[in-house]
Amino acid sequence: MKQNKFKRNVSDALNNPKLKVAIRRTTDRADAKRATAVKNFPGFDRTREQGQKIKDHVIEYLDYYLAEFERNAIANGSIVHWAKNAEHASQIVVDICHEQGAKKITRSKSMLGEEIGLPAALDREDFERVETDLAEHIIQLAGDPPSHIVWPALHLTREDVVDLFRENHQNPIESTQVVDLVSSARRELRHHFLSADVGITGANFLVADTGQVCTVTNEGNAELTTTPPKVHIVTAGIEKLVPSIAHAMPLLRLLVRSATGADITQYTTFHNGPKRGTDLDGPEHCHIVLVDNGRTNMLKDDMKEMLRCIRCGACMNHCVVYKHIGGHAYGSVYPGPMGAVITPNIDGLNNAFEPVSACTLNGKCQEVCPVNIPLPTLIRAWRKKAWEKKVDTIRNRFLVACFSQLAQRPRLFQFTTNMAILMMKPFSRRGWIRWMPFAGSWTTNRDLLAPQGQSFIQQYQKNRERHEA
Amino acid sequence: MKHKSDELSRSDQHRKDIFADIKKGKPASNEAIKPEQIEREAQALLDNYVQDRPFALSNEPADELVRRITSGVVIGTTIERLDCTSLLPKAVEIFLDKHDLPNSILLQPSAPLTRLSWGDMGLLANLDQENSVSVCMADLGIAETGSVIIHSSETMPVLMNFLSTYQIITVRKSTVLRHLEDYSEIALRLFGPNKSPRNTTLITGASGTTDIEGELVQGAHGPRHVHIICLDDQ
Ligand code: SF4
Repeated sequence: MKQNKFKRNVSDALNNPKLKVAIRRTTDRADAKRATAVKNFPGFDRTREQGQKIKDHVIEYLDYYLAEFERNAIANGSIVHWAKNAEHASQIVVDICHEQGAKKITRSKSMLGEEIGLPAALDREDFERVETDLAEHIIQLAGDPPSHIVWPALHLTREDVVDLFRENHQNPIESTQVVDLVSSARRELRHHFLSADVGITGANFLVADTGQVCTVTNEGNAELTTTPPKVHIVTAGIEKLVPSIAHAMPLLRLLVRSATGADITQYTTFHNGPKRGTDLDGPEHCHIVLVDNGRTNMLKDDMKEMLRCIRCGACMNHCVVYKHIGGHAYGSVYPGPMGAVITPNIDGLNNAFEPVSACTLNGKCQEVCPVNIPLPTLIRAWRKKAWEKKVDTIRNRFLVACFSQLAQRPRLFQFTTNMAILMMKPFSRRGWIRWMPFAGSWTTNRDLLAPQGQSFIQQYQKNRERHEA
Repeated sequence: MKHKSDELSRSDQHRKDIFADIKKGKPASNEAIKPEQIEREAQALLDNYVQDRPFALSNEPADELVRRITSGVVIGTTIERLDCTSLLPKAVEIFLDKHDLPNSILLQPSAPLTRLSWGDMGLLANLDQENSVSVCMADLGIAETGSVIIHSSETMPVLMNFLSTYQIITVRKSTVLRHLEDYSEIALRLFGPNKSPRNTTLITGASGTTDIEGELVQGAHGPRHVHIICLDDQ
């Protein structure tokens, strides 16, 4: 069921030329900016090693740091909640909002919030939910899920935004200039910021030795979300810990360079609990919801490295599959290579195997990952599990079985490849095959490279004969 | 309301389950590891990293801060140096003139600023109007990134830094740190262990967004322009 859906999503995406332009515009620019940022920071490679070590250290001692963080967050006046799964996590948030008699809730972008289905849970209870990150504001108006973890609205064009703002903003504007659109959103969101009852954020880092919650934004919407309302709620995955602020710094250097190509975001903020007695502003209450939702499963040896992920998005910006189909086709909160590895942990392999099988294993994602996650290895680990548990399609299993039979019989193997080359010849034009029987699933959306003469074995033998002669 | 009591109290059970699941994945030998050893390992990570921070443009942190911002890498930000705090009102006036702004500001209610003589400059009570200007004093600066650091306190309302259109931030030369990590030590000295302000913000440039077709626009929700005034206090 789910598998057919992925195929349908992919073919819809590939048949949408506007989408491809939109995806390439953002991801290509992000690739280039990242490359420049890395070039301009000679310590990048060693910082990458450092980032990896810090994350591995935390994962190794996760229970120690969780307990330390909890202690210090409580000491600073926060209330800490724990949630094993998504439903419980969003229910805690919903309950706090009810308890506070909240009507309007502002939220600054958090992928974990999406993961636990928080937007939908709040909407079901009829709270007025206001997404404050500009991209999240746009997709909220469009009724779309995010299509990228850093640029959730990258699938929409300026014209789409013009229409959405004209339809939905209180004082719609005539202009179609980006700068005016941003001003319109600024006006629209400002009064929401100041009149919200609860503000919800995620966390980029949780600082164990101080109890601080770190968020990074370029817009400043996190601070505007956490300061005016009576209540600040944080939802965060349990892997977000760092031992201290000093340990967060190299990770910040990696995160921002890899995500947007800047050295640092405009606002890097450490929030810590409710307002102190003499403070001039700030919330009266602060709740922190720490969420597992599949993360402790990932502590197992073959998935552990995935817990290093700092959600920078570089792997999807550089992924050939993502670049063609965009985020929505994956049908899950996390798209691209990191999504292919994480989603089966959350939704189960049965429901999330197709993106795993769509990977080309070209290794680009690991190359750019700022914490050196071996994404191709982890994807292969899922494929192995899928094979063992018979999750993939019967057709795939049949083809793999055929191949393994062939591969064990050299003569038959050679005969078959030679035949295949012969068969392919009549369909090839200038080195490419546009159509061929039984190759439809390849050739509908792209051409197939035609064989360049003989098979490897034939060429090898010929060469050897020449040498021996 | 209906779920309240059970969901919140079940949180305890969930806590237990999470810790149990973390333990499950670990070799038994890990049980014996003492907190001191974990702390030692964490410290060693920091000690081994010192030389890998981005290079400095200058030996003197405040100079580096100025150079970084003047080079244009910090979005929507300008910087000037001032020899003496008493010259600040004049510098603000010149800034307002230059940007064609009304002669009024919202001033951070902190003594080093309020005791200056502001002449006939209007002092705002809020930042509701378009093109409002705020003036505050940062606690620290960071040369590496061209940032200033602001702590919430009884004299620092956080919101004033996010509602104005033009933001003037003063920073004392002697408080500019070289690297991001240096803040960690200072914070410990300022606030002691596990006591930090409600809000600590590193501000590096104007509020901005690239969310529509990747085009950079300043003034997304907060300031469109940041002007840093580096005060020579030595
Ligand atoms: S897997 Fe690596 S590259 Fe991808 S989002 Fe996570 S940290 Fe970034």
